[in-house]
Amino acid sequence: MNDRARDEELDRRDGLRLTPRVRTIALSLLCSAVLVALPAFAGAPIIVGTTDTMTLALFVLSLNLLVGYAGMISMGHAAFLATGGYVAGLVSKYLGVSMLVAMPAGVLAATLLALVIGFFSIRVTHAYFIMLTLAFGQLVYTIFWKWSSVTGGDDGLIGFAPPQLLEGNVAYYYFTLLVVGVCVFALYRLCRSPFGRMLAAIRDNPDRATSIGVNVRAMKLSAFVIAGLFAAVAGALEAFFHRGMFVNSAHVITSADALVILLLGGRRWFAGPIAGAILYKVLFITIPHFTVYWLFYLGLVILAVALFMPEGVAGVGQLLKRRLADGTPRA
Amino acid sequence: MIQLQIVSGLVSAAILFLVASGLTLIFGVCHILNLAHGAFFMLAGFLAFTIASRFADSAAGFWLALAFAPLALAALGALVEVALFRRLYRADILLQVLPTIAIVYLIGDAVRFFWGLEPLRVRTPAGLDAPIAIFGALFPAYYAVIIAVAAAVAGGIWWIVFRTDWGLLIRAIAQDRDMAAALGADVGRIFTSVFALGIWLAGVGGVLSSPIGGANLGTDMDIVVEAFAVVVVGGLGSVGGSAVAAILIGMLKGFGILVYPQFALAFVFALMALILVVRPTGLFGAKE
Amino acid sequence: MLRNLLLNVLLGTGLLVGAGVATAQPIKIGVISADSGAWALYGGAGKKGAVLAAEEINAHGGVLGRKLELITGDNKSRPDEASRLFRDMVAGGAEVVVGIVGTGEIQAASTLAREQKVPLLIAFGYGRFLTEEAGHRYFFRLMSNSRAYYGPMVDRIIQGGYTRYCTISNDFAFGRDLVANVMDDLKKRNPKGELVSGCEFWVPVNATDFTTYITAILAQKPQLLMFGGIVGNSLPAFMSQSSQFGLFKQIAGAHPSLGWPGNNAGVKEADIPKKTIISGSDYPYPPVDTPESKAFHSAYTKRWSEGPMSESAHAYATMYFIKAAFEKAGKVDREAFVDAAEGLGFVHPSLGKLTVRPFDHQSNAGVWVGYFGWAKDYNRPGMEDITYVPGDRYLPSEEEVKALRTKK
Repeated sequence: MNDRARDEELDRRDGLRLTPRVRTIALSLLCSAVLVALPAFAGAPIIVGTTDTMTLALFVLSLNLLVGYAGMISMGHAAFLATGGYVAGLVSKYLGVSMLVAMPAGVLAATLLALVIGFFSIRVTHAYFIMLTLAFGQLVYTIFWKWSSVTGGDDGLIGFAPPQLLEGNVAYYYFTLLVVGVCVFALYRLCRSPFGRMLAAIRDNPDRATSIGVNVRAMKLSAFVIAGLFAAVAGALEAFFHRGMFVNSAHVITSADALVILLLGGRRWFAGPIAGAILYKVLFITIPHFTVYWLFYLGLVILAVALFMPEGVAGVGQLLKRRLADGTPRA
Repeated sequence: MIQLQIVSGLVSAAILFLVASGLTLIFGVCHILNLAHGAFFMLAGFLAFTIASRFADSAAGFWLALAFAPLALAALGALVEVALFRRLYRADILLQVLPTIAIVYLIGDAVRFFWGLEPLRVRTPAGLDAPIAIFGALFPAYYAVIIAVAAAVAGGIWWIVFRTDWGLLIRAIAQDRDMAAALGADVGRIFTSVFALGIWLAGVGGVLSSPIGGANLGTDMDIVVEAFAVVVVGGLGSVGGSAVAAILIGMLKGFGILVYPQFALAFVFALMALILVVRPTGLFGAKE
Repeated sequence: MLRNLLLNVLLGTGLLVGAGVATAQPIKIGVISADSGAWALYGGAGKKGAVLAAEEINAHGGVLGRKLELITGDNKSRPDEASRLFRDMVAGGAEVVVGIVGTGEIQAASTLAREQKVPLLIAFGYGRFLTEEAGHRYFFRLMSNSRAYYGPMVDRIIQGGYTRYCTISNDFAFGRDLVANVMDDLKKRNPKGELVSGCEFWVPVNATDFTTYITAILAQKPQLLMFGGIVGNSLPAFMSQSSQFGLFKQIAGAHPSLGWPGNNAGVKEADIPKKTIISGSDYPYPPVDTPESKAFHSAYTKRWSEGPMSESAHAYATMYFIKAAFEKAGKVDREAFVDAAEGLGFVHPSLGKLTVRPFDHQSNAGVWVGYFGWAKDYNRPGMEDITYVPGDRYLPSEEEVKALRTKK
């Protein structure tokens, strides 16, 4: 809120008509234009990589609803990504329905799971919340692994694919762009709404929030369920793109990767996860070209960011924006 | 043959206790969820391999490894604490957890770089691999050593925490660090020493378990997840709780395979979740 | 006349230059390997085998006058990365792709291979369904699948007259498959034998503490322990603990892939009981005594300063197979490649002369069976008393494969 008032103050002083809202819309339109035009000038590797990055960004955006806006650090968010993908795949494979029916089925299943897990998880906070979500997440992972007669276990689940029209790299890219775009827009509106502001209030001072009449439990549970829902969409998109669903999508390492991306991108801004996902994917794809010890270098990057750039890329972006806006270094 | 299951369970419990007690101390005092705890455990096994090989796999080599590897790791832990976590104590929990994940990656690839990909075997100290009979059941004498060392360490920690001034300081800081600082405690130094002690414990566990399990990549994630289950059940911050929980879960593993072999792992996570839902502070943890 | 001569010279030069440009165009082969993550040991070895083969082939004139160019990628032991790399390599011009990754990851690539009609040949991944239910025109496996290597072991178990068995295995798809198939087979062919009740143990992957299991097994007093599902990090730990308990002094053992160099790395000589554990290997140590095998072993050791593993030999054979198939087809074309590859024979460094069955694209590769032992001259675990058992007898017939592929 302070930021917005300050921006408006600065804009008025400089005589610019460029309010933050207009800036956001302009930036979004620019990005959308680039993404829509991408297949025209980029090769297959970039198209494929961008498809994966979009689903990843959606997954991390959903997590940020919990981490950034509600202040709840979940180490089990991969459970919903995986459930979305697995159920969508299972429904498509065994019931023979088209992807357009299977995906919502997957999302529904994951949302219900989020309701159950969330109900128990939101009762605890801080380190206990981290541990509980980790435990539930690993429980879900173990079930996917063990129930191999249904899920294929560590061999994975295959035998389903998008409809022929969407089989090609470019076609599926546009499909992903459409679905992710709609979800990002929905999340953005949600975060900007009174719901989002109330979540932030709960994050910053839960007792105060209760005293002004906010139903903290209901809000937290809603955030948890909505986060699970969007994670499941990402999971379903990923499953059909890769023509398969594999247990590593449910493992705690996937949840940890998402948290790393939040750190890299910055969780205090809506677009942070998007920046983080892009940066992470670039590192993830390019470092292995030079060395098999890519995890080592990723670890160094994480440490550097945590120590020197804790607000992530988006944080650096905001800092630059401020310096450009008033021309004097900010205190 | 129940004696065999009991001894097996106790051996698992001993190793779990060593790892979990360090983890719970680090959380209780420094409030850090050290996801890298297993990585130090794993590194200890590889160090033990190298030290033991230097001494031609003799018994002396193993005892030297047990003496020095945990100390070396404790020094490394102290370094990490000073260089890294010291700066992050006022930061929020995400900024404290993610660097521990980074350390897992760093240690994992460093181990691969220095020791390669193949699993390595550490010899049981000579003279201790002969089986001994207890209550009519045969098991290697070394297993008794593990249990004895773990018990001795447990006793030592109890004495340190409850009978020394340093222990008093630790408990004070765990309860309220700002108050303790206001009363003159050098919180920074205490944090470093507690962190180092926690890592030392993981190191002892790692060296002790290496003749049984060898030194392998991938141990880091497996052991840390189990250790967290023990810590949660026992109560975050309670060393005594870790001991009880370690025995509980160790026995569960020991007997569980006879009853429900396929679900052992899921059982542990379910128990962890159950405790966190019903009684988050665990069996012996302090109220939040 | 001078003008004609000039034209001829120009034309000739043009043709020569054109041919030179054409021969300069390399044939791109994609190689997806797991260089990091859980399968790094196997992926790395396989990639080295593929690179060695490509270098040799190029040194001897390439394929159809063109050099081989490998497009390599590390899938980090992750299925989604295998999928992405496959797409990238095909888009980058790879004619065929070689996969040296785990079974799950192969599945991801295999579906794409069928969709995009790009041949995928694998050098790792023994799940039999890959060439049975999930097999298709563009999928090839030149090494054995699990059927061909547990089959001979079952024969040995029956020959040995064992009637009481226990099993222990890591709990993952491969282990489950193996135990189920072996027990099924034994039950059918050895009705007098039985799995001791309650003596079937499942251990988490990478688990290294076997005391409880070993004591439980000893208590049941079986005659044989089938522990073929214990692999990876679990194996050396299991061998060391079983030696501490003297397990194999009291009972016999069977493990079909214990002779695999990748599996037994880390097992110490002191932990290997003499001639007690029935085992198999597709790349035994000491290396098989044939000219091809010796040549491969010395070339590989010289190039990489380490001994080859099974995956090295498989990938090496696969690259030469690719060369042979393109040469038989006469052109670098995927459909022609597939047609040429069906029924094509090739030589594998340790398994000898093999053929690729045309109806399922699985080779008839077999396995060397013998006892798990110590290869003194190479200072590593190996095999003793080995005999080669071809795979043909154990693989499903054409009708069976057809039935498996049509039912869903």
